[in-house]
Amino acid sequence: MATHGEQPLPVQPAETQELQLFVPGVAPFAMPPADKAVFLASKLTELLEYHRERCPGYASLLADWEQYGGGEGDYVQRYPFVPVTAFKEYDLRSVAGDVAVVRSSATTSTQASRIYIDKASRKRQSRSANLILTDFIGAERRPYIVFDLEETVRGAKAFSARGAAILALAHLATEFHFVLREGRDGPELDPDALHRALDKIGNAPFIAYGFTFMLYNAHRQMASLALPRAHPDSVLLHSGGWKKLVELAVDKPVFNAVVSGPWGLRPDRVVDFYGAVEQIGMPYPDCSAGYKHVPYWADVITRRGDTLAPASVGESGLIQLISCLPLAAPNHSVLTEDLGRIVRADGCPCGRPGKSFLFEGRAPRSEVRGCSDVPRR
Amino acid sequence: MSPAVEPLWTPVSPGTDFAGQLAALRSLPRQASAGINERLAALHGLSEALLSGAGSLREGLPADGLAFLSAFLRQDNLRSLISREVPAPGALSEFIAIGPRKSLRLLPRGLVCHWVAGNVPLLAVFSWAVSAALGNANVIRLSSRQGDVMSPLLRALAAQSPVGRIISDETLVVSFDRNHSEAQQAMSLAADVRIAWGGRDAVDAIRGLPTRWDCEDVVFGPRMSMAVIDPAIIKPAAVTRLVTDIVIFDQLACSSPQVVFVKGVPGEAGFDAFMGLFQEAFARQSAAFRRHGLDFAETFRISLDRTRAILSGGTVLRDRGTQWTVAIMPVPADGIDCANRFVQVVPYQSLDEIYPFIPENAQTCVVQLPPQDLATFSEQAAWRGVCRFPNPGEGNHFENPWDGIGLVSRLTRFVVRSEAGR
Repeated sequence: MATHGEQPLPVQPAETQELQLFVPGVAPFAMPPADKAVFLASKLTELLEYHRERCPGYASLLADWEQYGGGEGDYVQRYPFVPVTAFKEYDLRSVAGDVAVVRSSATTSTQASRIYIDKASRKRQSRSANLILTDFIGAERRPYIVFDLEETVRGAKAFSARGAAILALAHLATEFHFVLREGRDGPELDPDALHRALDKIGNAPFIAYGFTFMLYNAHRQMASLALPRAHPDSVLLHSGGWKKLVELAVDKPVFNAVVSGPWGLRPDRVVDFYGAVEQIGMPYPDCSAGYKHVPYWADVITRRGDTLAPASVGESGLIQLISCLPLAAPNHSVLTEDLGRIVRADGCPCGRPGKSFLFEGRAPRSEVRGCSDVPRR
Repeated sequence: MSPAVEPLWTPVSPGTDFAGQLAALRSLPRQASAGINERLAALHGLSEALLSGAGSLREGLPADGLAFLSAFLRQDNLRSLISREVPAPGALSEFIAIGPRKSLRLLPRGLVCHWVAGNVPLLAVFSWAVSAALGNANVIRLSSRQGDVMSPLLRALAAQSPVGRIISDETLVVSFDRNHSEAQQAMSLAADVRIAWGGRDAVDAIRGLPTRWDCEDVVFGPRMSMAVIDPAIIKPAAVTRLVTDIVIFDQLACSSPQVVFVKGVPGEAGFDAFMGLFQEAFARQSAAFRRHGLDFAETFRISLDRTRAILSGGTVLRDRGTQWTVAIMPVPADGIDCANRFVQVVPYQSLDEIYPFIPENAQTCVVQLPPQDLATFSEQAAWRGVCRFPNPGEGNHFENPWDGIGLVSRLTRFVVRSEAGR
């Protein structure tokens, strides 16, 4: 079982200033809700002023927010957000000079998000992902099977959503094994690469990762291969959209069975994690009870349709993602087009305290209604 | 085999299949069942019934559309709409001399099939009323996502008078999914006139259906509308009426203004005074007229478009929730979706600044301008595609012509006769 709850983390080395966000000795999900509220209010206020001073566009948005109010709820529920699409259309950044840009997958939108990341944010993201994933799958480093092409993490492609997701697990890897190759219709399983990887890994536990649809396709192909049983502590992680799988009538139980089957693993060793390119460093894996949890340096709000007021526990809403990580751009609080539901304010059967939530997919597009039109020129 | 369609309102005996109902209706207007005057009187009676709220008539009808509908159905209004297009309305009853040797008679085209837009079902009531007044039989296909606005009206009409009964017996109301291709095709093939209301996808789908070679198509397709206002001459009551034009159908109607061009510059007394009135009226009218519940995508879009307006250099005036938004923009921002009570205000100093922003799908331009400016602007804007220049408060008043189309001539056959003995 991974470390979480009250178990203290190992004492960390002296922090650089940008990593002082993380409280030494406090596990990601262990901070009591009342303490977390105070912690977040303080950090988010600092972050708001930090970005206001550095990003004129964000300052304009804050002026509007302060004039008309952030609606109802507690401090975090009233905290301003930027709709994710704005990062596709406007150059929102809080640092000058040469910084990296991460772009969202071009397959999910016609225009990619451009998220700026400086060195300090990258360190925070890396530490954040490390702490979260360690809590779920343990700190032990293992061989890493990547169900993707090697060039996805090379050069500029490393700053794609896929590249960033692969590299988010790098700290858990002793070695990388890329097992897809470019095929006629896109990436496909490379059986030779897979066998080479398995020969090297032997009976050791491994981690594996792939974008959800790519992982599914590869495992469909693997069903006909004679594979050795994997070590039972191995874990297969995936993230990304379910749209293509929904079209194939593949739900999560079927997916987990298809992916765990060739390895002889239990279906719960297949872990879906939710994340957004606008919030790199914030993976939200499923816990053993099937829910997602929020570390103390982040929060998740769901907002109602029609009003954008905070949704109640159990009610579906648009997901607002908040984290204290981003310093290069004001993407620390974003309103997504994803739907989710807070399942419990506290008391998840997995033992992690605080809020637990479900990701429910992309909000459906509006039905085109009526005879009104946009201007045609 | 006849497609399976369960009618909402049918004059034909229950159990008759859809194809049989269409065939029965198509045969009706070949005989003169009631004259134009009696038909107008019956529709006037329905208008009175709407005003008095008789029985369950108001059930299922949107409250904000009732006043429009009642006013529209009045006899003098319908006569006025017809006479705008037909110089000799008597020809609807008999042959009327239109010159020294010629007489004209107008007869109904036959079976008029209406495909109704999901957002503004009352618009189809308007085209139905004109068509019925002219003696046509009608089939109205309502979207499967909307309520039945027609059956209560037809029930009341039938109870009004014998002619009201005739008109209701000449009307079939159906509801089926847009993907029910057999029903769509059967309806299209039966039509002498097809009237399509709706967005691009909807009207393209209807136009693509097989039809008779001589079928007349009337397409009230996707359009956008605007307003041009000179604060120097607009009165506070007219500001409220302008805002009502914007608010009332949540800007989902083709006639709902999306961009308001206002003479002046921000900071100037006249402009700022107008904006003060406009903002107040927006808050007031948004509260007075209930908005449809926004889905998640529409809600997200409001938040996004407010962000876009601010990041594009605009100034946003809004409520604390998502009810209404006024974005003062240097120029119209096409990427901003002006729907669900989100309007752009663009200052101008010369009318010439407006013309480049009139899109090719422009329909209505609500105007409040001094006479000389109105003459200049309407001539220029009409050449660029604008079809209507109503006053504030009349933006959504259905009238004939609509979308630049004269409805009476599309819904009638023009018959000419040379006089004997010369």
